[in-house]
Amino acid sequence: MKHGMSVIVQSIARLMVPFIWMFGIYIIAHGHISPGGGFAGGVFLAGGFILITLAFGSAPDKEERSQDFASKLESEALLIFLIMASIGLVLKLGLMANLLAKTHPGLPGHIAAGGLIPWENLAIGVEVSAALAVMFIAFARHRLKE
Amino acid sequence: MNPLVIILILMILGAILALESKDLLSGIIAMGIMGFGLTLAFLFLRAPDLALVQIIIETMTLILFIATVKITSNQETSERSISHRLLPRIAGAVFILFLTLSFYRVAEELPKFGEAVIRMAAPILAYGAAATGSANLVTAVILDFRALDTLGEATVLFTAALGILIVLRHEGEKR
Repeated sequence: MKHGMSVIVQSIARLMVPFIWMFGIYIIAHGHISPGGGFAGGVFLAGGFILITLAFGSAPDKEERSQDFASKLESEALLIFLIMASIGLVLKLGLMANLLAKTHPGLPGHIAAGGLIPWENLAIGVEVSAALAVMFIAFARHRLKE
Repeated sequence: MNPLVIILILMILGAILALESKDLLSGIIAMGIMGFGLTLAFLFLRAPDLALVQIIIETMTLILFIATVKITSNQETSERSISHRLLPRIAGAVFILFLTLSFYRVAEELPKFGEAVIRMAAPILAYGAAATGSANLVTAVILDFRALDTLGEATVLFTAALGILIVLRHEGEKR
């Protein structure tokens, strides 16, 4: 993983990764309107990250830092999802009650609709992408060590 | 002929090829036939959400498998004797016979192919969008009606990352 790949792969990665990330963010943000959602969009974001790491390579100290960062991001995203889940429990509406949808329902098909659903999609997207990135960096560092 | 049936036959052929091929790399490519065939099947069954997840997961799995083969070897290492090969085949044949016989009885009770009767679908289709404000009803189900399942799914992923970090940890190792 120390060295990257050839200049052809690097140029293609430099061209493609912004679009891959943009598509991932679109899939997450429009999860309550069009097909997709947090899981699919998160895998897209992690795929762009893996492509960049494979194409350009990375130094061991940089890998350690990005692993720490991704690990924290993943834990925080799951924590935020749990907090959103327990709001309904505290207010005695049941676990994962979509409180916001009752007060501010919004128009189905608009981006500002669905109550808590877009926020939950965002949390799931961050969680999935960070978890996949953590797994990838862990395997890459393990291989680097040998 | 139903295009879905053609895709399913291709998928079965791909699975047999993946099992029987001696070269591991061609076995992985044959596995790809199965995965991408499943993507097409989801599209024909009008499930774009599942097709989206399936196509990206399949691509990443294929890349991981190919990377593994590239690092290790593309030859099957274990040479098995005839008696070792014969026993799993007999067991497999008995299992398939048993499965076919039991499925033959069940198939009469099942609804017709492609016309499944799902009790929960009707109320969700009728009131789902109005109750949650989510136009994509799949998201409405996984993040509102059945959000507990999504919480479990996220926890599984978190636990998997945690397990990999623990097994492959660097810090605190004896040097």
